[in-house]
Amino acid sequence: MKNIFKFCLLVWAVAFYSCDDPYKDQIFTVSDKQPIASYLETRPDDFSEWIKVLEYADMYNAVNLSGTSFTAFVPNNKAVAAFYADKNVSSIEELGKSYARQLVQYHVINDSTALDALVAGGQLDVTNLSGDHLEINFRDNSDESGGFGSSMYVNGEAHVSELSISTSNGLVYVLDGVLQPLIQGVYELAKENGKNKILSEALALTSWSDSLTIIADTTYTVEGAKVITRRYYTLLGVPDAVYQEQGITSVQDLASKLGAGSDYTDKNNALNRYVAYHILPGRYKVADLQKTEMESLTYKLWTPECTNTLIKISKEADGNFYLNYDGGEQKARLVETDADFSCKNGYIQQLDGYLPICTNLKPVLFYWDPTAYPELGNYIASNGVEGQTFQKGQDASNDKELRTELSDANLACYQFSYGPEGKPGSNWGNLAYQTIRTKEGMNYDDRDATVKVFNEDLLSLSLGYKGTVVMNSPALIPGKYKVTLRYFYANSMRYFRWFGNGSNGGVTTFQFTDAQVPEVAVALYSSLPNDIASVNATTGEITYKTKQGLQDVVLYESLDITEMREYPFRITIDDPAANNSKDFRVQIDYILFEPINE
Amino acid sequence: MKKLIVYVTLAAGLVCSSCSDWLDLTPNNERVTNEYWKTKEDVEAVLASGYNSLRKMVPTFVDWGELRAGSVYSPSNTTKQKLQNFQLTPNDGLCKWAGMYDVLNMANSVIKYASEAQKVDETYTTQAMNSHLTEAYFIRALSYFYLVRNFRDVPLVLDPYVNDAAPYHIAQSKEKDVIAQIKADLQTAIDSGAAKEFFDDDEWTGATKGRATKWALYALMADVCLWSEDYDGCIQYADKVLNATATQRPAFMKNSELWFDIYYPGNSNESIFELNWDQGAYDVQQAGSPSELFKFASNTTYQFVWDESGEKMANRLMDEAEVGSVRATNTYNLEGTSYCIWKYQGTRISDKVSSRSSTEQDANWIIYRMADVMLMKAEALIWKGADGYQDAIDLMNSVRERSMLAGLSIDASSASEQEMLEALLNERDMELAAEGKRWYDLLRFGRSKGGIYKNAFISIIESNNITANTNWLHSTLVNDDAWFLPVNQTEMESNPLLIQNPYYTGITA
Repeated sequence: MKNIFKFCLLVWAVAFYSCDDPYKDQIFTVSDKQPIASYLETRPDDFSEWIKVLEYADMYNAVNLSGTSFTAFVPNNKAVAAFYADKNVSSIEELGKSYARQLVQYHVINDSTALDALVAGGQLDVTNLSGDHLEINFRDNSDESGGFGSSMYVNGEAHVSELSISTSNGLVYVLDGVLQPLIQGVYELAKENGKNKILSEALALTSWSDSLTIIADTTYTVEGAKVITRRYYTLLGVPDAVYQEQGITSVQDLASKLGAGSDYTDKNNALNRYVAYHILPGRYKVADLQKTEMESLTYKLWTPECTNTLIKISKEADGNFYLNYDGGEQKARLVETDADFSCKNGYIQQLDGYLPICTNLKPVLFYWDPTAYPELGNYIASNGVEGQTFQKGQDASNDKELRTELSDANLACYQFSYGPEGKPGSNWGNLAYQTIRTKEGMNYDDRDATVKVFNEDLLSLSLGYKGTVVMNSPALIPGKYKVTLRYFYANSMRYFRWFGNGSNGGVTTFQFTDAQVPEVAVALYSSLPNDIASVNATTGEITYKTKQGLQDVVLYESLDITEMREYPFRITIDDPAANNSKDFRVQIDYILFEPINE
Repeated sequence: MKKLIVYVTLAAGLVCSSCSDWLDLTPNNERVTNEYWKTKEDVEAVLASGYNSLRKMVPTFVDWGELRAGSVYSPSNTTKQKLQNFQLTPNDGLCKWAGMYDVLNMANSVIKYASEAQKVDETYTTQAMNSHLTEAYFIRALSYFYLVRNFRDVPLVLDPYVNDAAPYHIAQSKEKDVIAQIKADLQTAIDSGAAKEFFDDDEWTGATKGRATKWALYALMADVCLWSEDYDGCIQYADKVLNATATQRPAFMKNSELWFDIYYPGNSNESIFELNWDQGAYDVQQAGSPSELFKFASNTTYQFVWDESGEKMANRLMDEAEVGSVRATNTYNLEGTSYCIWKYQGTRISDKVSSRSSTEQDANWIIYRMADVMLMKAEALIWKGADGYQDAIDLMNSVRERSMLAGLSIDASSASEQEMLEALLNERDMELAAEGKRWYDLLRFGRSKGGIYKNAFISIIESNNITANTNWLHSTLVNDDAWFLPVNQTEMESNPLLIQNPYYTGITA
């Protein structure tokens, strides 16, 4: 919800732009400091040009508002002049009001961004008013008299020359350059970048270009509230030169090499599937693509838009990162020298191979995190509770666990239903995305502080007795696996451990419905090791030594996967206590697949 | 140990019973001076408070001395990471120097008023008083030495804040003036001849290491001389320790098997001066002890740096451990993928399992020990010129031999000064790992002789730091001012005479 809230103010301002400055008669709070626009007025030699831009965009008074705080990146006069020269104009008016507004929105964040956040580098957590993440980078300058932060740039294009000037309604950072707003999506930029001509044509023929042009989805909740969710993609681009090495000089060559029929928009068409294989949902830089989920792993399995496929990115003995190393000649590498091309809705990366769909990946150990859906990631980024970041715990000492309720989010990744008695009351959310606390000394397992919550998040289920949720696994590589569920136990679940509150011990049933295996019912809480610390003689209340812990239960000693595809996984709450206790919930960390070598 | 605690309690009692907080940095009521200094115990109580305040600074000494150097780092503490990434701003508490001035106030009080007590206490001999003064001078010199190495220019306060007459808005003095004062204090103490070779204390066996002796004065003087590029001075004072013949002298412990005794139980023969903790005697006495700071868990505050490149601190320790190095085998421990620092948590050399019990979380913080002084002398010899290289190598090899390592393969006749210094730096890094020395060692390398090794210094930091952006690091470190901390904003605001380090000018929010 946070971003919507932050958008509101300026969206409101934007709504009036066609007629007049909406705040022109408003009275501002008086304090010893001036608000941002007034502050800029005091330095006309530096900011008179940007003030003109603010005025023309009808944003002058908006950034002067009290009661909210802003971070304003303000290009100085020299920067604005250089920007006009580059655009071949002499004033902002020549670029038009709509452009001016985009430009200003791109330079303002409706939140106070402290210097620390900039100094930390990387993408800023809070988006600017145009809904984009600004990025802070550092360039080497060998100026021996350069002061604190002299190497700091925004989006790699504008040097920050003055840091965190405090005003009554936020902070001003002065720029030596103007930031160029990102307007185009992945498809437009791939089409225009001059090196992905064949793949761009394939995107157009298969209609994937439509998806890659979308910036955001708008949906409405049951109550009618508008929910805007940004969509992000990462295109694994294949340069035309790489196709030429394969004897492919046109999109028709590509189609015939793949043996594709002519109905390119059919999702089962070979060209369509090939193109979808090159699109990862989510925005990933090369550094992100090279990350693994555990330090002990040297690879990660990625799920592209092409159904029932996987891409394995691994670090191999030669120190390089490969895509589908198992694919022999069909393996590819990310071109690190031409990486992270930034688009409004994601990134374009480049490969040194043409990366056909890999069908011969070998089974590997992997952790399926049932919250690792890009759809959920996008939803949390746009609509998560204040302060929550997808797959990132809260590390400040005063931060709490954060939970975003998903039962009204209409997410395709979770098909759920409440039990016959309907939605139960819950202290933990009915279908909730929870990020943990990661501050020092905060352990989620009393017995071993080294045991960590995977991806710093949990899926919390409280769907009532006989409530179910079905979600799809990533595509599973054919082979036999031992399957282990890891879930979280907390002291507030102890009643279910001794069958209090009408509980049967937390019985929950699991099944891969398409995999020819029986249901598995597990009493998640009463099956925990008996480590009773004491029993209260009068109340019968039991205290256990383990107050919280990450628990493992084997669901299948051997799960036989015969076909490379996604498998629906159903969880049914079979404990009557799920209806009558607000503390009842099942909190899932991951499902581990370990290949069985025969 | 008990006696020290008695002192502390006494001083604390004083604070409460007197009308105002005279130990504080802020100006106070004059009456305290007249009424307080009556017996030698009064002097000892304030001196003990000085040591106690110094002990409170140990967590800061760890951060200041280690984090920027990239051998020991904080993997997750965001406040500490700002320091290790050279991103501290004037608003951060880690650049507050008030704690150091608390220590200085104790030292200044003793220096100024011990003679008042002597006038009224007939049992307080001049010799006893002079001995107390040498300790106070040591504490003052050591405090300024920490300040000058971290802030460069600092206010030189030589009078206690005991009455309103003392000016408390004092401008910063230049580094060279601060160094001159430190040397003058140490010289005064040494020249008085009153510094003890040992403390004969029935109640506190560690007193000889926990209070400033003649040996501590020499070691500190050698260190200050090395910092200020007075290499002859460094060698001269190092030799006073290394060549001492007195029966109660500190001695380099050649026996490899005793190496861990330096840390457990501590107060070893090798030790020259260390701040003492004693959890058994008084249950809050572990607060701030290295045992508490260097915890042994995957989410511990400090770890040795390790990465896949194989050249970081933990990697180098592992390489040494493979060839049987005593100091390397037992200074880190792996827990999962963490490289916890073991020397303050372990109890012995032979394995990495026997940790200190929960009632022994009270390792001391060693400020000077013999191997340190040997390597100081070796460094001075190297800076002096090629004639001293062989002697420097011999000194380094003695330290290596104790750790069961082969001698250095470097050849004195052909080695360059930089090669010699880099060997020396590595030797200090490994031997004095996590002892709060590394950053100052690197600074000497980067600053001495007009900064001829500045680029090498910068690249050492860049290659060891695994948490900061390289471009940020480089752009920061080319500016010499960035090697020193900002003056804390609250201190800037309360003392209008202070001038901010130019690197941080304009950073207030």
